[in-house]
Amino acid sequence: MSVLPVSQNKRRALVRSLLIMFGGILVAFALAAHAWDVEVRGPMLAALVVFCVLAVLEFATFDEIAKRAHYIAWYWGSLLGFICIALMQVAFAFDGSPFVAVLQTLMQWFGAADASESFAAGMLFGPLLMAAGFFIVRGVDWLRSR
Amino acid sequence: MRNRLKVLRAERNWSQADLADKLDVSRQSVNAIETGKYDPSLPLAFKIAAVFSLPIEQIFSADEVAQAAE
Repeated sequence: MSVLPVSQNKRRALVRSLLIMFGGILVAFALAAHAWDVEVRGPMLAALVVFCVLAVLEFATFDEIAKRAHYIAWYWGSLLGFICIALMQVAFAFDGSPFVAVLQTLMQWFGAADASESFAAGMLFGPLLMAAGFFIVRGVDWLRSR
Repeated sequence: MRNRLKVLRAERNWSQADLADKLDVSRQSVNAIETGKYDPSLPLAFKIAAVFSLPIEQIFSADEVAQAAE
């Protein structure tokens, strides 16, 4: 006998609650590591793995309309992120562009980076913009469908 | 695509949440179908027809067909 609720809606609510709980745990670990300088890499990685599994399970409980909304949000949201990245690349490429001054200010704040650090920062920043695009499109769609 | 989901639901005194539970979809999804923002897939349309015990064509109709009938 399954311990999960029979109703798909109740199953979805259960998985979502667990997802929010583990999201909270991840944030708590990150804050604890920052505030008290404690070593939490192991537990944080474990929580992240559980979070990812729950995210996949949550997607499996979505009905066709929610799945479609996610596909659309990922397509348009990540495209929006890509366009932002491309525009920034173009803007930074021109000498005398006001964006170059922004880049120089950032370099003063964070310190000059070598090639591997720049690559790592790019790897983080790109998906971050795509995820931001996803949340913007999903948020607009959610507000419109209320 | 037009549908009579709201009317049929009202005839049975079901809320959107009641219908959502019967169809195993979210209440927002029922609302999206009712307001015409989303056309359901064939499997979901058949499920809706089964829940209301009606043939699909009595629930859903193409815009042109509905306009011609009016």
